[in-house]
Amino acid sequence: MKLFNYLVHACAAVGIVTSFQTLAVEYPSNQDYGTKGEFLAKRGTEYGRTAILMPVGPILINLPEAPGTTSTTFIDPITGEPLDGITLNNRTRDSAWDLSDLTNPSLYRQLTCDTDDCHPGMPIAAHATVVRFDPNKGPLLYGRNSGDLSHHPELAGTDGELNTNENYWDWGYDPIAYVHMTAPYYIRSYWNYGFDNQGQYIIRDSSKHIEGGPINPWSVEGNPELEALFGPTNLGVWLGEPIVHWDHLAATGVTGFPTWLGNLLVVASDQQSTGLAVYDVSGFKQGRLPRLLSVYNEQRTEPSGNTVGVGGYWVEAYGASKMVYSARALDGIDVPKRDYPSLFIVDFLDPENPKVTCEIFFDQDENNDSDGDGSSDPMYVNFQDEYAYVDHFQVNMALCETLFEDGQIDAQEFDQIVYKFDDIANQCDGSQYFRPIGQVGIFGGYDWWVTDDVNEQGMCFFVTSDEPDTRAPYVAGHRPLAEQVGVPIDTFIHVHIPETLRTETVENAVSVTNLTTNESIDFRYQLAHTGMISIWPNENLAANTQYQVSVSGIQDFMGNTMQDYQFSFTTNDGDLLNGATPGIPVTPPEPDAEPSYSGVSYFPTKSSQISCAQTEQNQDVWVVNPDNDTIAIITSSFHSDTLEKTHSYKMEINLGYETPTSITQTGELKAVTYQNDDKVVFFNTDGQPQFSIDTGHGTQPINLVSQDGFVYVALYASGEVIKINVSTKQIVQRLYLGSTPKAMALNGDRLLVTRFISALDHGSVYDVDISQNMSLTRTITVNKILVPDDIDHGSGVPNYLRSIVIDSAGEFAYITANKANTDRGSRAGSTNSEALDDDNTVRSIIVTLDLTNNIDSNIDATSRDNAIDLDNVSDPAGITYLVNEQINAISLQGNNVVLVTNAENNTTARFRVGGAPQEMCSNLRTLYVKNFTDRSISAIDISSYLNQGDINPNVETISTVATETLSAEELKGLQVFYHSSIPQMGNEGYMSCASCHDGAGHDGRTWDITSLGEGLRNTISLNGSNGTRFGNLHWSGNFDEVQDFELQIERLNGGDGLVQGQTFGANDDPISHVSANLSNDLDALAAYINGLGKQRVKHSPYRTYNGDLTDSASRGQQVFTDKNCNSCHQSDAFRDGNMHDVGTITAASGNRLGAALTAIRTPTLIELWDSAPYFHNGQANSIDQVLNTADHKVELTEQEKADLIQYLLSIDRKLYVDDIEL
Amino acid sequence: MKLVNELTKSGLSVMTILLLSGCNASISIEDETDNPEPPIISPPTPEPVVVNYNPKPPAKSLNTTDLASLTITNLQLQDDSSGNLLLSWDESNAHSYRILFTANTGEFNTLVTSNNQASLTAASRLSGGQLFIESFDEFGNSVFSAPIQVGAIQ
Repeated sequence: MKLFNYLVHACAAVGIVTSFQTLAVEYPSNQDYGTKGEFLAKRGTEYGRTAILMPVGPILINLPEAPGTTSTTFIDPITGEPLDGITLNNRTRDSAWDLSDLTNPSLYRQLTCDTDDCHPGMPIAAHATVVRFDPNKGPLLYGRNSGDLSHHPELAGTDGELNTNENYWDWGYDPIAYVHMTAPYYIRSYWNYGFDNQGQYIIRDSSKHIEGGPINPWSVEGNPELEALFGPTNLGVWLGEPIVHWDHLAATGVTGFPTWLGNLLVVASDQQSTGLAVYDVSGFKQGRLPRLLSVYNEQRTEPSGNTVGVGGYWVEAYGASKMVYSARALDGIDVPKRDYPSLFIVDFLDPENPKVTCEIFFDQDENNDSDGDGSSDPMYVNFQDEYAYVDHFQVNMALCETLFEDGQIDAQEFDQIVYKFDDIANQCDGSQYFRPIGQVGIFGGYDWWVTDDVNEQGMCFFVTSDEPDTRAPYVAGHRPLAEQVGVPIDTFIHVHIPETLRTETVENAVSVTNLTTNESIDFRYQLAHTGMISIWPNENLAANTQYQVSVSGIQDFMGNTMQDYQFSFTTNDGDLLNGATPGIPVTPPEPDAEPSYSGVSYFPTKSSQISCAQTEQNQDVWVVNPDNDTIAIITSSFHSDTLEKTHSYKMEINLGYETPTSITQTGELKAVTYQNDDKVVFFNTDGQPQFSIDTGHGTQPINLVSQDGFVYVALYASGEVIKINVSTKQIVQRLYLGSTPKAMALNGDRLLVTRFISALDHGSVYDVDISQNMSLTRTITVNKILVPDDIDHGSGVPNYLRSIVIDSAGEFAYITANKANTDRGSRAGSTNSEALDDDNTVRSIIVTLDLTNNIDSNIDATSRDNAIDLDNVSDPAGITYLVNEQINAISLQGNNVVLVTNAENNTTARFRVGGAPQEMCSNLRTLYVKNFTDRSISAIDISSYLNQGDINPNVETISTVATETLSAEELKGLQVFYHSSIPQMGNEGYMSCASCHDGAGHDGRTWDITSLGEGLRNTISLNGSNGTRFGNLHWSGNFDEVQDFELQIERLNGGDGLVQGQTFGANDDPISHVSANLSNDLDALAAYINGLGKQRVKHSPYRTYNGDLTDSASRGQQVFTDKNCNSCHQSDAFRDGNMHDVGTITAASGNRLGAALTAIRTPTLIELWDSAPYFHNGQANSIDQVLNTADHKVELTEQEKADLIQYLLSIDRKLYVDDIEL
Repeated sequence: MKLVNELTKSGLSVMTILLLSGCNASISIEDETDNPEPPIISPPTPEPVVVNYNPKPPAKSLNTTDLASLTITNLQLQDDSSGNLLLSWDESNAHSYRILFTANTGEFNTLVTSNNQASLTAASRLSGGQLFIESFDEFGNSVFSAPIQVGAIQ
C-alpha cells in the first residue's frame, strides 16, 4: 500500500507541474490569524528536512537539506527506516508554495524532479539564500539546483510565473558561501564541520576564476604554492582569484563566519565559541592587508558555573552593528562544553569595543517547559522587527538588551523576553529555519524522532502575535553609520530591514546620491534572507564627498509600507593605502550642537511631577517627592568637550507642607501643589519660596498646568478646578467639575481633566473652556470596554485615569488608565460568570478621545478599535510625547519600564527605569522619568534614539531624596506594593497591590472574589488603618496578618508568591497559617502597610475654609452620639474591631474563608467623604442610602439626617484621635 | 386630569395602573363628568427619597487678599548672650507668621506665632542653616521673606 500510495502521489505531483493555474498567486490578506501560539497548518513533510524558506514575490520557496531528511516515500513499513537504495537526493524536493491563504497554504509547484539525478537546492551553507536584483530579469531568488527563480505575475497560468534562470554567472558571481550574503567576494568559513585550519584567510574575487575556468582544471590541486595558501578544503578555482591573504587564526583565534558590513569584515564564532573579530578591510583591492580593530572573546559564565566563550552554532547580522548568535548545548567532546542552549547578541557599533548586550540561556529549569525542553536546540536565527526567532523561541531582543544592563537576565525577565511555541506537541520542528510573515511564522524542521510514527519535518504555520501585523518595516541599522565621516571610498553599503519583504518592492527602492554632483551612482545590490540589503557600488566613491542613501517604497510581505528613510555619510581623502579607520560618528563638537533633536518639536502642556526646560540644556530639573514632603532640584550639565550631559542632585526644599504632587513652570516661577496642606507654592528658580495660595481646607490640590500667566489647579477632593492669576497672586475663579479630578492637559483654550476614580460603569473626562471665565463645556464619557475576555484582551471600566496628553492639533487626547473587570464572578446575576484571574482582573489601557466629535474614539465598545489594551503590563501611569509628536512615551508603574512607540516607523522600545515610574518630562535631549518608589529620576539620553533609533540609550539615575522618611523595610515594602514582579506577583506582570490601591487608597470598585472563598467585596482604603492594628483585615476579617496576602498573590494574581515555593495549600486557612517571617519581601510589605496610620488620613473638603466643622456638621456630631452610632463606630478610629450582622449580608455576599459568612467587620468612618461606595458589597453610593439600608435605617428628621450626613462626611484626620499618640 | 395628577404624585405611571388593574380595566381621562367616580387607588407608602450621591462639598469663597500687604519689612536679627537668635519685624496685616528653619544638618523646625517676633534657640542653630518667615492672611495665603542665612555658632 505504501508503494501504491507513492505512485498516486507521484502522479498528482506531475499533474501539478503540468496543469497551470490561471490566476496569479496573490499575497495573503492582512487579517487576524488568531491567538499567539496557535497552530494553523502543516505542509511539505514529503519534501524533506526544510532548510530555507524565502519568498520571491508572493511565492514561498522551500529548499530542503538532504542530510537529516527522513524519507516519507520509500520507507520500511516495519522499521520506519528508509529502504536501501534511496539516495539522499531522492528524499528531498525543492518546492514552491502559494501562501494566499495562510491558514491553508497549498503547493504551487514542485521544483525538482523525482529522480536521483535531481539535486535539491540547499544553497549558501545550507541555511541561507539571497535575492539578487538583475536589471533585466528583476529579483532572482538563488535556488541553485532549482535555478535563479524570478516571479512574473503577468505570466500567470504558465511556467513563467515562477521562472527559472540557470546562468548564475550572468550577475557576476555565484553565491555559495556564507560571506556571499553580504559581499561578492569569497572568504572561507571556519565551521566545525570538516574543520580545516590550514592555509590562509583569503579574500578572493568571486567574479574572477583562477585561470583555467571553473571546470578545467576543477581545482588548484597540484599547484603546491596555491595548495599551501588555500588549504585542502578551498582548492576550487571557482572560488575566485585571491586578492589578499593573512593568517587570521594566528592573529585572532576566532573561528566562524565572515560578514561584510560597510568597510568592516566581522568574523563571528561557530560552536567553537571563539568570540568575534572585526577588521577594517578598506584598500584590500589594492593589496592592503585588513587592519584588525578588535578581538572579543570574553569568557562568559553559564548558570551552571561553566565558563565558555561567546559563540554559536550559527550567527546572523542584525542592524549592521550587532551579531546574533544561536548556540546549541554541547557536550564538550570536540568543542567547548556549553550546558545550555543559548542566544547572544554582540554589539560592535564601536568596532574597537564589542560587547555582549544580551545573553539568554534556555531550558534552565528542567521542570518547566516554558523556558525550553529537551527538544530545544537553537541552530539558526531569523528576524522580524526587534524579535529574533530561533528554534521554537521568539526572543524580544530589544527588551533583552534593555534588561541586560545589569549583566544578567533573571527568571522573571526571561519570561518577559522569551515566548516558546509548542512545536513538538503539534508534530513540528522549529530548529532548522524560521520565516516570519506578519502575524504568522513558518517553522522549518526535520524529523525530530525518526524512530517514532510522527514525521516532524516540513513546514508548520503558527500564529506569532495576537494582532495582525500592521507595523511597517523599518531600517534597524546600516553601514556606513549616519553622518559618519572619513568613510573609505571602497566601502560597501549595508542596510538592514528585519522583515520578510515583497521582493518586487525592493527593486529600485535604493538610491545613492553624490550630494556634490547630485548624481546617483551605479551599483549592484541584493537582499539576504534575513533582510540585509547589500549595495556594492560599481566604482569607488569620490573622495571627500558626502553621499546620501535613500530607501523608499519597500513593503513587507503583508503589504505594510516602510516610511522613506535616508542617511548620509562622507568619504575620506581617497587614500586607500593609508586611510584611517573611521570611528563612531559623533555630533560635531560644538556646544551649539545641542539640542540634539532638530526636527519639528512639540512639548505638550500637561500636569507632571517633573519640570524641565525644553531647550536650554543646562537648566535645572525640578521634581516633587510626595512621601518625603520635599522638592528636589537636579542640576543638568552639558559638557561641550565630550558632548555628554550629566546630572547631579543639587538641593532639596522642605517647607513643612505635606505631599507635593505636581510642578509646573509659570513665567520665571515654579508652582508646586501640596495636596495635604491645600497649598500652591510659587518658587523662584533658585528654589526660594515667594508666596503661597491656599485652596481651602481639604480641597487637595493635586495637579496643575499653566498658560499665559494663569495657573489652573485640579482640586481632587472638592472636585474643582481653580484659576490663579500669578501676577495678582489670587484665585480668580473656582469651577466645580465633579468627582476626583486629577490629570490635566491643556491645548489652546481647552483644558481636559480626568476623573481619577470612575463611575461604576464608565470613565469621565471633564472638558473645560478657559477662553474667558472657565466653564465646563461637557463631560466626555470614556466607554466601558465590552470585548470578550481572553488572555490578551478583556472588558472592564476604565478606572484610575492617571495621565493625559493632547496632540498639537488638539484633535486627540490620550489617557493612561486601568481597566477594571468587575463584571466577572460567579455571583447571582453576574453577566460574566468566569472567575477573576490574572489575565482578567485589572488590565492596562490607553484611551483615545476624539476631540473633534468630543467622544471616546472607541465608539463601539465591543470592538478593540481605538482602545489600546497593553498586554502583560500593569498600571500605566504617565504619558507624553518624546519631542517628536510621532513618538509617545508611556510609563508602566508596575513594570519599571517606559514604553516608547514611534508611529513613523511603527516601532516600539522599552527603556528600563527605576521603581514605579510615573510622570515624565522631555526636552530635546533627555526624557526625565519620576521613579516614585526608588525616590529617583531616570534621565534617558534620547538623542541616539531620536536620531539613530538606538533602543539602548544611556540612562542615568539620580536620587532625589537625601533622607528617607520611611524605614528601610517600609521603603522596601512600598516597592513591593507597586511592583507587579514576575513571577512573584504574577505570571505576566498584570497586577500589583497598587492596581486597586493606588496611593494605598481604594479604587471605587466592588469585586466578586467568590473564587477565593469570599463574595462581593468593596475595595477599602488602607490609609489610616495601620494594617492589622484594628483587627483582622478585609470585610470578612479573613486575614489576621498582612502577610496573608500571599494567598491572594498566589490564587488571584497567578504569582509564585513572595514566599519561595507554594505557601497556601488548597485547605490552608490564613487565620491559622502563620505567614510572617517567611519572606523578607512579604514582611517588608507588611511593615509598609502596618505603617499607614493617622498621618496618611486626609482632610475633609466638607469642613469650612479653615478646617472647622460646619454648623450643620456640628449638629450632626450630636445626632451621631444621640443615635448611638458610636456603639460600633467607636471614637478614636471610628471602629470597634468587631464583626456584626447589620442586615446587609445577601447571597452575593458569599462566604468567609469558604464557610458561611455571618457577620461583617465594622468599617472605619474616617474618610467617608472619599470612600464611596459603601458597605461590603458596595450597595450604597451615598451616605443617604446607607442611612436607609437595613440596620442603618435610623429614625431621623430630615434636618437631623442632613446634619448627620454633613458630620459623617467631615470625619477626617482632625477627628481621628490616635490612641497610640495619646 | 385630576387622576393623572394624583397618579403622577404617587409616582406611578398610567401604564403601571393599567397593568396593575388587569386586562379588562379601563380608565378614561377624557371626561370627568360622564363617568362614574374613578376607582380609589391607595398610593403605596412613599419610600424615602434616597440620594444616589453624596452632596458636593460646600463651595469655598474666593480669597482676594492683597498679598503685598503681608510682606515682611524691617526684619531685625540679634544674638543674645546665650546664643539665641532673636528675630523681629514690623507689624503687617498678617493673620499669623510661621518661621521655618532648616539646619545645615537637614533638621527642619517650624514655629507658628501671631506675634511679630520670634527666637531661634542656640541649640537648634548650632550648625547654622537657612531661615524663612512666612506671613499669612486669614485664608492661609502667604508670602515668604527672603532667605536668611544663619551662621553656625562658633
